Amino acid sequence: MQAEHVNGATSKPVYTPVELNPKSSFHLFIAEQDVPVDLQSLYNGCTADKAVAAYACASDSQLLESLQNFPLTGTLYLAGTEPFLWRVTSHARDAGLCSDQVRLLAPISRERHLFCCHCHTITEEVTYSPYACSGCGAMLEVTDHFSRLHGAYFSFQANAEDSADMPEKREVN
Amino acid sequence: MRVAPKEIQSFRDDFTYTNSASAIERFPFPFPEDEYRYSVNIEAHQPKGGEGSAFEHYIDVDEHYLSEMAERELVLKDMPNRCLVMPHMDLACWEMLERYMVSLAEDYPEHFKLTRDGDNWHWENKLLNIDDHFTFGDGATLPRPPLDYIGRQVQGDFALMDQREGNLFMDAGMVTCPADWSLAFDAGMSFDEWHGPVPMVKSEGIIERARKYLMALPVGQPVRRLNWTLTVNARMDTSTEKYNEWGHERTTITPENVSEKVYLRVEVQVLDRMPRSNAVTISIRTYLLSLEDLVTNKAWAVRMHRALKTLPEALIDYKGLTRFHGMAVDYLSQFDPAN
Amino acid sequence: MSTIDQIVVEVVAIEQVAPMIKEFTLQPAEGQFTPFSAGAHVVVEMGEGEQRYRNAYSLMSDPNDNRQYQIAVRLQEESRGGSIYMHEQVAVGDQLKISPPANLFAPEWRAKKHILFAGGVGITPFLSYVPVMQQRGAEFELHYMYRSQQTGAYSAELTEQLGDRCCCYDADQSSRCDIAVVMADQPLGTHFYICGPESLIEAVQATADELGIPAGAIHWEEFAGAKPGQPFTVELSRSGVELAVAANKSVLETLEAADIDIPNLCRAGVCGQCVCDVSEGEIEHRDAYLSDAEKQSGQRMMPCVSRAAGERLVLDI
Ligand code: HEM
Ligand code: FES
Repeated sequence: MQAEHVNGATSKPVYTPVELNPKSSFHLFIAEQDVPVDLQSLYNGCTADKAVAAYACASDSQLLESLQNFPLTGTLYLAGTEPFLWRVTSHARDAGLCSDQVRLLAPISRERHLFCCHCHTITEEVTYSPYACSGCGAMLEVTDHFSRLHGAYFSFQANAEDSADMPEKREVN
Repeated sequence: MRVAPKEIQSFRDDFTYTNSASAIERFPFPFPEDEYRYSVNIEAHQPKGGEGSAFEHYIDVDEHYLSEMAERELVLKDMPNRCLVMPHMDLACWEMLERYMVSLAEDYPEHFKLTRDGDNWHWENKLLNIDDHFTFGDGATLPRPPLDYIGRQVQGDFALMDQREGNLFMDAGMVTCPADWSLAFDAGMSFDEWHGPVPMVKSEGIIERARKYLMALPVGQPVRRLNWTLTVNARMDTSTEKYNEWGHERTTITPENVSEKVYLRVEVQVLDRMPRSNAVTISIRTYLLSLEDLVTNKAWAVRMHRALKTLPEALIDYKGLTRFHGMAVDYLSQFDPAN
Repeated sequence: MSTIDQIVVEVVAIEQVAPMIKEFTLQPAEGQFTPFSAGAHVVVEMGEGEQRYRNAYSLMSDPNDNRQYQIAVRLQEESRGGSIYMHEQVAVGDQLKISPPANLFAPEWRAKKHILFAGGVGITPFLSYVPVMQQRGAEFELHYMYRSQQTGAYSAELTEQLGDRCCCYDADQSSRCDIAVVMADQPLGTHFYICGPESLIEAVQATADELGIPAGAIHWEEFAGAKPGQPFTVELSRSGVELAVAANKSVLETLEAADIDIPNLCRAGVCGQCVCDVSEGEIEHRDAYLSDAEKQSGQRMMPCVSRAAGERLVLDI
């Protein structure tokens, strides 16, 4: 399991520019924190005949509630960090939305959640590799293999083969 | 002649695992050609190789049965979440249990016996001294959930895929001897996602073709494919979970010990469709053979040398062979007359 | 090893269930059927020689009942004959061959509600959905459109069994389904399934699009790999040998029968092992291995699944 090839894994999500779904009768916009410009301009682009709702800095329970009355003909737009995008997507799928009803804006930060495959702890706010696991303390090699269920990237002890051979620190994006 | 299960040997610590002469003879050698490249190497899982071959039966029970079952107990005791089942996979797990019990009892009547009266089943596994009466489909009547129960009685790892939305999702499995991957991480992924780290396959459309093929797999027509890697020491549990414990063994190879410490690890993967749930199951059965034992078959030694020598760099890296690939090739070259 | 290639079945009952539809009850000639999943189909092979047909039919019996399978066949006068054969030639006591069940039309079990649109004999896959949906306590509605002078089988039983969860529309009684009304205002998580003529599939898709219902919520039956073939000739350019490929045989099987071994693994057009160069003749590509460009060029084919588009192919073997 060499990092060079795990990087570039096809499980890493690709975020393409998001447009309004012109067919939808209802648009719901959710921002994890402050509303980013891209989401704002989508919101502004909604015509007056369509119902619209927007939440910023929403808690998970608010989100679940907003999904309760979501119509079959609605589209959900999400902005925030990558783990947030996939966590809300998973709630939305459970609520009955189809995958084509959920549109994700590119994550607002390059911080990653890391899944330590040794102790299964998720470490947050990771921007470089190797990175210390918040569970077992192992120095983790960050990969591009991504789990939508965990909202996190795969990682394993960087110097497991030779403890003296710690890879150089690098930024991940 | 069929290989009878022998006494328990270990796949860790003192590594007492050995292959008998007949186990060597029936080893599922994976290279059909001198060059190895990824391909959609799927074929019908039909008997091949006659009596005693690793492909004689739907499930192959061999001399390592007791050792592998003992090893599995150790792994599951340490990490119970090596067996994971999402609730919607319950029916698929029962179907896999049915498939396995029926075929084991048919193919190995001396070891396994299944008596069915409607949903009242009686299962006897004489190798592990198991004798249970239960109601098919009723989890409360089995000592463990169905996958956990049958998985501890069959060699190999298992994964169960739910088919929906034009894809297969790995929503259940028991994985205690994987070649460097993690079920806990890959759980819930689609076929394309869990194959994400595999190099070179995307451009060639291999994964997409394989997925389409599997999605159309009918009931009762299982298929198989082989995969392989090299493992240092006869270690079954080369999960990424334990990479921090076994990774360093890759640095212990020297020209002197390469033949005895490096094992060809072959996975016979059998894919099958479950009738009621429409799930696809895969059993990933691992066979280990030291290079030392492998070269007792001259044709294999030559093949193995050529396949390793021409292995693309990306595959050497991905399979984790970088630190000792050269030594393995050098060792094998002495058996290749082309050298 | 218990693999099933084709299953020999005996026709144990035939019933005219509508003016144009006959129902066939099949039992295995030996052994047992497997249970199947809701929406599964089998490919029935019938007849012999020139008169050999292979048609895909949905299994319409209860999926949990493996004592017998049932299919319903609508007489298609314009077809090349499979349904005519079933209607006119097949009698109780006859044997047929069927493929094991495969499923390309399974319900989306994550759905909160299922709406089924059946047109005519398209009711059949839904007959296998209904018992499973009832068993799982799933919410569903069945909208069944037919012409009682031709089709319309099972409408009375379904109405009785399902009450207001089943709406029947008999075009011969001028009763029509307003698809837009059915589809509008359905709750989140509703999925729609269509089995029937192309026009019905298109109507539901168009309505969904207009209403803003996501495409991912619309499902329709697609039979793959069930297309019957035409007989043709292959010529082997190096040996000059000429072989007749029968309608029910692949080129690969035909070559093998003549002791010409071609490497192969999957025999399903995905592994690439059997690739052959073609020097003459038009190819009907049915594989998933060759790229579109390779298919266009017409110079290579996968003899395990692909056939001649015309009457003759010359292979460079
Ligand atoms: C549905 C059943 C299957 C499952 C559960 C499965 C699972 C996996 C997993 C977990 C890996 C390791 C990926 C990693 O590095 O994390 C892998 C590798 C791979 N799989 Fe599959 N797979 C399946 C079917 C197939 C099929 C049908 C093919 C046919 C082409 C295939 C081709 C490969 C290849 C070429 C690799 C790389 C192996 C190596 O070089 O060691 N897989 N598979
Ligand atoms: S045998 Fe696999 S493509 Fe023809």
